[in-house]
Amino acid sequence: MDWTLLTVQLLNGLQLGILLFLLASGLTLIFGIMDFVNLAHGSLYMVGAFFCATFTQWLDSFLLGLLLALPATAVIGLLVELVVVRRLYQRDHLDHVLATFGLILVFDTLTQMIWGPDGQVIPLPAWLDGQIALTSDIVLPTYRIAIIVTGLAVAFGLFVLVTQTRLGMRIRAGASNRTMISALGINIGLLFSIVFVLGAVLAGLAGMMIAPITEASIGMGNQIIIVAFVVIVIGGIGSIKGAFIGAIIVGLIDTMGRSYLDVLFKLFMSAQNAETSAPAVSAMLIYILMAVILAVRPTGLFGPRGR
Amino acid sequence: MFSLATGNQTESFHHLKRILLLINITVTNAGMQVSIHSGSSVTAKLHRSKDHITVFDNSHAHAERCGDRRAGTASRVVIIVNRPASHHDYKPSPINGQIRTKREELDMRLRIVFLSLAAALVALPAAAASTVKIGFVTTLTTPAGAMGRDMVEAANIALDHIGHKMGGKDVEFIVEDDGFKPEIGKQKTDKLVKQDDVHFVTGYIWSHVLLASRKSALDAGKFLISANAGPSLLAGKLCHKNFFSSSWQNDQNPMATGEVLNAKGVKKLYIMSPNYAAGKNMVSGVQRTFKGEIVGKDMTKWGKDMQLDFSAELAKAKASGADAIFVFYPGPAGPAFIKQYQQAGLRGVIPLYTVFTVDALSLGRLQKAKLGGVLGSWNTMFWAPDLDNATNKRFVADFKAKTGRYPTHYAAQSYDAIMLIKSGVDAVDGNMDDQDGIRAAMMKADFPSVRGKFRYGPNHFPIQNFYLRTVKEDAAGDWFVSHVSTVLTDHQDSYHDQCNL
Repeated sequence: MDWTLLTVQLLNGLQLGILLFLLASGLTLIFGIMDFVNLAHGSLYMVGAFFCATFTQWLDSFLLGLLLALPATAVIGLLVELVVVRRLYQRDHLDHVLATFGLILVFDTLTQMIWGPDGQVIPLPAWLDGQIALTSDIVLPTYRIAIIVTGLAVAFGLFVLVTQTRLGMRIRAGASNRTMISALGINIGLLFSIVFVLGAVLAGLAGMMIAPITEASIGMGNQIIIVAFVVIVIGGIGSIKGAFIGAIIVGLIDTMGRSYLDVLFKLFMSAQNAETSAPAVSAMLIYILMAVILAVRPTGLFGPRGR
Repeated sequence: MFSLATGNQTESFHHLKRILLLINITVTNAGMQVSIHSGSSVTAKLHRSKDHITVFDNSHAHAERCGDRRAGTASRVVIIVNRPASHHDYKPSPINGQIRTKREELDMRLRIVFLSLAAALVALPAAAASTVKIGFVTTLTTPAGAMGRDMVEAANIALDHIGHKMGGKDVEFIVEDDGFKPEIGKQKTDKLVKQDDVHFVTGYIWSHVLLASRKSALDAGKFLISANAGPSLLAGKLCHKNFFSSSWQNDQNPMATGEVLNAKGVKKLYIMSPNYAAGKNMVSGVQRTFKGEIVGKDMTKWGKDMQLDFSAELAKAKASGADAIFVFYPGPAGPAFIKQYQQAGLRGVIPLYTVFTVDALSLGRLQKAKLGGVLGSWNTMFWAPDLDNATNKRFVADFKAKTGRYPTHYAAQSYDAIMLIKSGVDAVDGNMDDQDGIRAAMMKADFPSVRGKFRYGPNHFPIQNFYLRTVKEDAAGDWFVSHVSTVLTDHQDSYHDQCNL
């Protein structure tokens, strides 16, 4: 066993998990508190990435681009909430799915009209573009470490927000019993807007973090949103802690599957078959995990009880 | 005045105007002959001794000779003339057999024009191939949409260069988006074949889309011309008389790379490629010629939801102790891979060799992001923007003038696809029913290609040179892939033996 490689892959898995957490935390808040299925969450992830790319290219600074793109994504999130989402809270989930699927198409087409079909590259400053040697053997790209650090900081910030502040208390209360908190005189409309915009910013941030690695491209959120749903189902809908644990588990399983499954398969099948089947099976692993968890704990690892 | 003796007529009066311009009347002693040239060639003959006109539709006669029997087409229509019961009789007689009055002449002329109009109305709808229809299936949406846009632009430049005419006919060019999905590609091919009734279907970036669509086009008796994808099956077992490639077989470019790797003294190679038909061909191609050891191989998820984060794979590559990495990441995955390769600190540690990964599209984006790691990297291809021939110079100059960037090989192949079709249609003078003639002409590859002269193998894949290319900065400061040297000369794909044509 190559322990260096294993450590590197664990860190890679952690980084993917953190990124998924940024996306899944917003999704779980919106789904858990507002009972709203937002397929277009991935579109906000894409919008964040494109804003960040444009601002970075204008200002020639990734950090400034990031700082400008965050409020810009918040504005888009607010617009979506006011114009479309607000009208759908009273409808059932199927209407949510239909409307937000429509939003995905609108966002994808608008992006194509504004930015063209090409992806947008985000250049990184030199100090983020190098590598860091953790030990003499373990060398990781600086930017991936930066993602881990940023993600952990955001996770901590969210933890404080949800557990230590009045707003967090209301959010938690909303997740447990919506009718009760509106009966207690909380402005539920405002609370929903805040939660939706918070989710949009978190999704946008995830898009901004990944774009320097993969580049901002049309439809980039449509694939990862499915994984984000898997994360919140595993973690338990409405739970930030669940989203965090779920995201790390999914990130690690996905990375480990891609790294070691072909080696494992080669033990009992031909190299040719192992090379072809391993990527297919590793892409399935997280869904298998989700199925198992749904069978054992239908509300997820940290899901609310008695709903 | 007359009645039609055949029940096989369709009223289509929008042909009238066109027909009037195309009528040609010849008066002879034996009678008169009227010819109409409009896609088909219709001839009406009136014999003075007879009371009817015979209409010959030559194109149908030809189609039937070719065995293309379509229901309801007649090669001969007989129109009965009710002669006016007057003293002007067309029966030849010893007295007025040689001399006709002016009145007679005019009367006869008018009548024949009228009759031939009627004849054309009968005959034309079945042979209304007045335009050459080309369907073009490519990817215009999803992050791969930029590739399709390049192809369509190049095809349009080719059409501009030929004045939108082939074999004297107007060209109708219909573009469809496959959405990067085999099932959509097949649907769009079906639509082009059935609804638009095109003569040629071309385009096709992706091997899996082409493989899914081939039956739709070929079973309907259409020509299928791949302007990019070159799956091994279509070069071997599934080769078809009506399938042509204006690009290459998938294995060929990586085979050239394998030779380059040998020449550079690489002993241990790490391979990364998407897990789909073309990805497997690329891997088998490089393995076919590379003589060293393959120390690791990753086939990553591909399609609309492709894997773009290669952290795990790059870590494995680094740990494998390889001397070089070979990758095939076309379209949107290319810049993503190159950035991560650079971010992982592999530049200068494990040299990168690519096929279809570094092109004008990815370079534009990489330059915008100032990712200089790609400069000086090697790749192999059948063509380069600075390949020295007149056709290529004109094409590259016009493409740059129109779009402001260098063309990709996707664009070059699309340009050639249109020129290839034109060479076929020109050879038969636009007679679209003469498929054998079109095919024989296209087999000759006798058209100005941007890659220079090449020929076709028996499986209709090009036998052509492959070049080593490197990324350079041009005089204007733009990055482009520049021709370095010839790696393979007149190279034929490895699957032509399996093709029974």
